[in-house]
Amino acid sequence: MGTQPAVTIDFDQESLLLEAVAHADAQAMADLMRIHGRWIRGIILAAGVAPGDLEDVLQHVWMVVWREARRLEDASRWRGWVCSIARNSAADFLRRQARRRRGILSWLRTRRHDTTSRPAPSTEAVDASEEHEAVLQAIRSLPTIYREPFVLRHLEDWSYQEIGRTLGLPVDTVETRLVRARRLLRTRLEDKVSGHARRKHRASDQS
Amino acid sequence: MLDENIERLISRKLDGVLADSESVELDRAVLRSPEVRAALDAAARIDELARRALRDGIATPHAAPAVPPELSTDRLRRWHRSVAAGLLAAAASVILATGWQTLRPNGDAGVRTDAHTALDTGASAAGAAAPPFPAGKGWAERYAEVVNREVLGVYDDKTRSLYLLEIDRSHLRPVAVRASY
Repeated sequence: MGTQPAVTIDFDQESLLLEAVAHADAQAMADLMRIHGRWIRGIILAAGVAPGDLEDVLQHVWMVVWREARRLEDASRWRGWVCSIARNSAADFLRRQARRRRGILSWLRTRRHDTTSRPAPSTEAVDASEEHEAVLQAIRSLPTIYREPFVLRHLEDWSYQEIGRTLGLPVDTVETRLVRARRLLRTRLEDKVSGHARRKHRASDQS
Repeated sequence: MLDENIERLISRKLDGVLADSESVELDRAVLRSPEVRAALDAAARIDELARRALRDGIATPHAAPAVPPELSTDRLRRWHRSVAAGLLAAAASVILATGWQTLRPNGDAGVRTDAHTALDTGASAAGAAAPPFPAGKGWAERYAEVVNREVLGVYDDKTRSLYLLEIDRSHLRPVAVRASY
């Protein structure tokens, strides 16, 4: 006896999660923070906030989401909405930070002093950390329109569609921006990457 | 300077969205040109480094997320009460309106679906008292407690209505049926 094919229902859990948050459900808010914290950190980082300051900005984002969720008219567009909040919070933070530049500079001087008093790390650790820092620096130097899709792609492994939905961009534009981001990074990191290749070849020659 | 199309193919390969025909085209270009091969290797290496650097840089803290301090227990309690009241009102109104449904596969003796009750918590059935159904395990469990049954929920985005299927599993077994609606 044949059976009817199963009925498929597009059940958008995420929108409902936002609706629950809008109704002040703490469990839903905790779920939202746990599930979506990382990509929102990515957006904040892409806006130019240093990794050490991400949590401060993220806390502000969550506060705004919690307070304003009830005003979100179309819950299915929540990703774009949260993305805007993250961008604005990061921009506010960077503005405040710029105003406190003098204080920050004195903090950096103290930090540099602290670093010099630590034992010297191994050459390999220095290489890895330099490489790591160089890559982050190169990503930070990308124009924002290329940086955001690049960060979301590499942080979350999101598809072009997911990135487009979050950033409010057509899929083709996402792809084009990723191509250009990679081109710029290749240009800026060529020395680092070729240096790594040379070290790798040397290591294989010695073994 | 790399051809733009080759750059696009490299990017698509790294993103795992390269079509078969594009894959052949890129392989040919790699075989033909050492410059393309070097570009592909460099792009792959940069992708790997970027992925690692970003994930290390944005390591998610393991501490349990803090609930925003504005959260009021009273407010939550009121919300839960309104949810329960809305759900019960919805259940009562829809059960009265639709009664029990019976499916009759192949005209044989009907499979009585005593356990199936569609509940609409949307505006039409539940009135303003029923809020939209939230997601998450915690929510499902909370609703199940209210009706004291196992519940499956189906949400209709168009009408913004929730249909609940109550299941008392002790009397059920899966059967194949042909049904037309």
